[in-house]
Amino acid sequence: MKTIVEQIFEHAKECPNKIALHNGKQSYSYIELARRIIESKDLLESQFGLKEQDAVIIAADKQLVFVSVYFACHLLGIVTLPIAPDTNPKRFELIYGQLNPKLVIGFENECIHTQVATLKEFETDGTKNFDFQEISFPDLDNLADIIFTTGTTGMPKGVTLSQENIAAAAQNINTFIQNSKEDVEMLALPISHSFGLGRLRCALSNGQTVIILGSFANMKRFYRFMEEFRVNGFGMVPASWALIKKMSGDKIKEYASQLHYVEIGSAPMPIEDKRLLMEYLPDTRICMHYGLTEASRSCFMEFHEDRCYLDTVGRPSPNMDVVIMSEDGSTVPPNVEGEICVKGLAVTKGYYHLEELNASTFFGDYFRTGDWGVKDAEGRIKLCSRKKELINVGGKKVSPMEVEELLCQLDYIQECACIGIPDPENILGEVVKACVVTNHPEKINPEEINRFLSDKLENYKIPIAYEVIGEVPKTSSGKIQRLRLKKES
Amino acid sequence: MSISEKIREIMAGILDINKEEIEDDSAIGDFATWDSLNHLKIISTIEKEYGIRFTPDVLMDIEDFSDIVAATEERVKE
Repeated sequence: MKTIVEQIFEHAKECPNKIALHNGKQSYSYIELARRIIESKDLLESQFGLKEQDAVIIAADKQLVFVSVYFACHLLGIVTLPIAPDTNPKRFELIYGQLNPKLVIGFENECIHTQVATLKEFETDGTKNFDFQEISFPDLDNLADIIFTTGTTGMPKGVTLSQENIAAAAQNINTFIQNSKEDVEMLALPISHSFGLGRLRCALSNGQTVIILGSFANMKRFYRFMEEFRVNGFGMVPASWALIKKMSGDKIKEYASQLHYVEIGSAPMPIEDKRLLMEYLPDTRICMHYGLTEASRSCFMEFHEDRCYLDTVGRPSPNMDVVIMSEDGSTVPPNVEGEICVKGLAVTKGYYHLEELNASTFFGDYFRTGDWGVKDAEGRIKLCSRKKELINVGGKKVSPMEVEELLCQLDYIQECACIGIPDPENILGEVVKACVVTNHPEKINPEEINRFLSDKLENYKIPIAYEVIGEVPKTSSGKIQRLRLKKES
Repeated sequence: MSISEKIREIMAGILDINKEEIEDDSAIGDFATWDSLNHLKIISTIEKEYGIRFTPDVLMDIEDFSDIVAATEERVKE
């Protein structure tokens, strides 16, 4: 297996003029992308003094230049932390504090005591000639990325991914989806999350063309790009599909014969939506994954092939081993519920600097997902419940504790618990609801409270509903029973 | 306040940016915060504010700020 950056250079050698990236205004061919990666690497070394194993935080802004800087870091053996450009300052501070990076690209924050740069500074001209023979690529063992995920407590946890992890994941995914080099992919997902960034790596490692779209919400552009670039595949979250339906009705049907694949993930999808998609796209491979940042795309299903099993998450992905284990780490027989555990080259080695947590996160080589499920005799896995109480807003995870902590800062809120409720607009899957205990119910004014939260939280984390309750249900050890509250809600 | 100004204000609030940053041709996705979730929020806030409803074909045609203003003005007139 080769690292993804090495695969990109191979494509640059074999098909230098093929378009690697296009955003409608600007494009990079594979050779230009390779040159820009080299130029950015030179800048990282000469201007910022970076060397192997240093860490860099980058705003994962959907600009072409992000892609060259990201892979330049990999080429140099630097650990990258791609994070959302709209990350709230407090979360940024928490991430920064855990890492001690040598360079921060694309952020301003008072807590930064190291070199800063903008992505613009890496806008090189892509003309530098180089000799393929002289490039040394990173080892597969090198740490490539640290992706921060939402912990249940609100404290972000850094998932470490080696070059081997990300290369193996891309290979598994491309194998399942059956991608070919000729595929043209539209990337409308955020690349600060593992799904979007993963799609980018899959397509580029495969020598495909990637068309970058700012957001699915730009429906007009989505269909224009579809025509203009003859796009034949894209990745989306269930909320994107809800949006495509709301905004464009059944227009996607017009592209049924053009679309070779669609990948779906990050949140559960209602079965009616799955059926509708199958009806609209009868010849497309509609692949839905189940996975985590820690164990990218552990399972896969293809809607048409698995039409009788749409209520499952499919079978283990190629080269991934998924088993159901009991609390003591032993494998349970088929159809018995237990914890979903995953092994494979795509699985993380652990969380950054959280040794104690890492010790309890694995059963031998198997990563414990924290999700509960059963496996039938044919190897299909059904998700029963998520152990974690994270709220899934359109694929973005929200820690209830992060919101609760802020709400409790208001003197008239004694206690509170946040839960996920179905989105009344029927788009996002879940949205946040806050159940609060107060002696002053007259003071519970959602508008006012949300104004207080607005500069402290990302928009999707802000509760859309409030309910005054008598008490917050707790276990005997004092742990909030959010799932119980959710059931009663 | 004109419809255009009101929409600018709604959008700046939701996207957590300054009103001045929103140009007529600022397109969906141009700001990192202008993602699908926030776009829907913008649309439903405008719908509530003016008591109107955008149909899919109207939503489909929206590419940038000026399109949103034009679509709203048209519905409000009806």
